[in-house]
Amino acid sequence: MNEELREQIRNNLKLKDIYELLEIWRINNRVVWSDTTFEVLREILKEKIREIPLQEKPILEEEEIIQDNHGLKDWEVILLNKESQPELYSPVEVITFGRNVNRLAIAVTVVYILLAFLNSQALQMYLQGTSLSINDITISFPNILTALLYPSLQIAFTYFPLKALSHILRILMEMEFNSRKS
Amino acid sequence: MSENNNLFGKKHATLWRISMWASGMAPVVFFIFGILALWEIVTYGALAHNQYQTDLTSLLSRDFFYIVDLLLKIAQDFINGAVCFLVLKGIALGLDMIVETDINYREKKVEGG
Repeated sequence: MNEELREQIRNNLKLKDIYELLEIWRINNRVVWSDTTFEVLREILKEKIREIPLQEKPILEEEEIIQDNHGLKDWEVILLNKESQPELYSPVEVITFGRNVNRLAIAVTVVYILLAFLNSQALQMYLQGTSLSINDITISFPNILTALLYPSLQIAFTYFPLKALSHILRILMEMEFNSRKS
Repeated sequence: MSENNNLFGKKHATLWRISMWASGMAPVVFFIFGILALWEIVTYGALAHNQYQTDLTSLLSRDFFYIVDLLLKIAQDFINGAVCFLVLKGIALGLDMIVETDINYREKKVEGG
């Protein structure tokens, strides 16, 4: 019976390509795969490659998968824990991309606001020691408005396209995962 | 996907090539913007010489305003480089995902008969 089971597992595993097998081996999820599967998998890998790579710490409980999410959203954890991973891109790269966009958005906002403030007429006059009367401020109001509008547009034109790109990539990733064989 | 490598057609190859280019160009563009950012120091040096008849260090030590202005200009160039880098990387990732999705659907179709 045991031999029969091993043979069945062996046949099932042989249907998968080497990358999938290596991924199963590396992730070492003992909740999804039995110990016998890993024994058979080791034999198959021994036949196919010279050196078997090291495994990660075994996942023994379902909770461990969720705990080890490093601030990822639930659906991202599900995608990353799937057995078959894409070959042409890395889902981690897509998730990191979203995070980098958020960081860059903050940097863009801070730098453009500071630059606008630094180049503002009011600051220039203050640095030159010229006092500003209410009349001066009223006269230069269109200039102040333009000075505020320009960095706002710069921030908007940088931030929104990047955010849109980040969302498009996430949607594409979900579509790609949904398109896989169940 | 790899089970049916013959599903990777000419159109996929073209998209993949574009994606490779975009991905490869991303660090190059960022590097160019990095150089432009450092060039701001040279520009500032020229400004100090032409407008204030002094050198860069004297101008920077004259007023804190100039240091902040120079740093912000450098940061602005780096940020522009980072934006271009992310856009190119995003395009590359998007194209890769489109190719992979299409191949997955084709694979399903082939297996479905």
